[in-house]
Amino acid sequence: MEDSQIIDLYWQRSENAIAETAKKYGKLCRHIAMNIVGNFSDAEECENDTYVSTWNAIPPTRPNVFSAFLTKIVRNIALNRYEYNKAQKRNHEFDLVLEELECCVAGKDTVESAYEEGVLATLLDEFLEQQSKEKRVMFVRRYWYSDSVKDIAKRLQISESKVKTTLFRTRNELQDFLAKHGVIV
Amino acid sequence: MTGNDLFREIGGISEKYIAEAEATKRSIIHNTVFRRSLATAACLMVCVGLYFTTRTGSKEAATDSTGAAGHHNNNIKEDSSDNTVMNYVTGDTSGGFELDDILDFFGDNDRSENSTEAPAYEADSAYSENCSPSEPEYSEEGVAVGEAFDYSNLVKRLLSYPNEYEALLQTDAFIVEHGIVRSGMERWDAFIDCVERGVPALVEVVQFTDEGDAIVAGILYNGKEYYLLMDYSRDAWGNTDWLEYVYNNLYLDTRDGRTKVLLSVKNVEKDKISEAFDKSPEDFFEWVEYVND
Repeated sequence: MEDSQIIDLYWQRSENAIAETAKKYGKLCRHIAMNIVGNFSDAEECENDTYVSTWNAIPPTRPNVFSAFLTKIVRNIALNRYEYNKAQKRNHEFDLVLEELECCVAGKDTVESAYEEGVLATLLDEFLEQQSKEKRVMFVRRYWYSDSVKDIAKRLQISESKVKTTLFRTRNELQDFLAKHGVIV
Repeated sequence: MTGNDLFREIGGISEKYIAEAEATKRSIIHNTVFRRSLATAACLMVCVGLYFTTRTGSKEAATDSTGAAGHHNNNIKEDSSDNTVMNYVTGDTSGGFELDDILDFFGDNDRSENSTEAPAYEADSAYSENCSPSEPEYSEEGVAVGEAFDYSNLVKRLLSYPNEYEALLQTDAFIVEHGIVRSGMERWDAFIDCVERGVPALVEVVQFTDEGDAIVAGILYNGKEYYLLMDYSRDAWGNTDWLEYVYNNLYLDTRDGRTKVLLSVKNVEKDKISEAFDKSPEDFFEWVEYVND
């Protein structure tokens, strides 16, 4: 079923909307949640919470890119779940993702006013726009989808070492970019 | 600001980048393919162009089974300097190649011009007992040109695989789901056994994308080289893609309870494959990986 038809089902308040969403994007949502929370039961709960949130959000929202809309929701829900679980258990692969990002900002004083909600996302968009498509895809796969380096290498048919090197350079460029824009000083 | 804060902020990036990262995996692969084998691709496109230009007048010339194989192998030979990805069948939806065009190109006369249905899958009893569906024939150059290795048959056979997971499990294929062997291990072992004896063999392998779509591949060993044809048409997130690879060697890198199937043009001693792969992974195409029993 086309995305627009699924969205129409939400607007009609048809319960088939959730079934069709699960059918088309359930695996993708579970995959993203799994990358963050690191266990199947939590990932499934995140997936189900995503359907509830989507049901509550549409209407009035009419997403432009339905898959991105859904995956943003599941990513946020999974991140909340990860933080909730963090004291008890750890997801080492995802911890690694956060540690890598820490390097972009670690040891820097933050100019709080510069990164009000949404401002930094706009800057990140600008930064991504400047990158080559391959670098951008690698960055988004790693820090948005939380894919492992191995999965990215496989997906893009390149070596893991190339992925690591490219991500390392991109993180350094991001650090410079953020410093230049006063986000970190 | 912490890494966690930054991760949350990255969550707010434009949806177009999120969609791009998900949807462009195949096109990036194709770009790599084209960079690596531009000359071959250009040659192939000229051939394809000539074929479609003349298809109305001289379809017979292009549908001869040995002709199809010969064309295929000519491309393979030309790109021996690169020795990796040799050929690109189709896949750019904007380029306009559809399923019927592929089958027409490789000489399928059984399908109507407007048909878009894949042929029904049929198990081949002879297939499970031998290395290939029937004994291959060889040309003077040693390249298989018989019915079993007719390229169009392989295309048709891959297309005939069902889409549903349960139905896939009933096929002859070696099925690996995210590293776990689901069925067909004996077929894979038989293939490896044939290969080790230098006997031409063919096996189909099914893997799955993160989203659960099947990627069906056929690997054909003709006694000299390995032809790997990958059908991405079931991948709902990709384009209708076909990729073809040719390598001289197939290796099994077995360690830590897992086996990695590697393809390469590089000659490596069997007992040094792990070392060679660790040293220069870029020399190998990592195709399938599975957990051993």
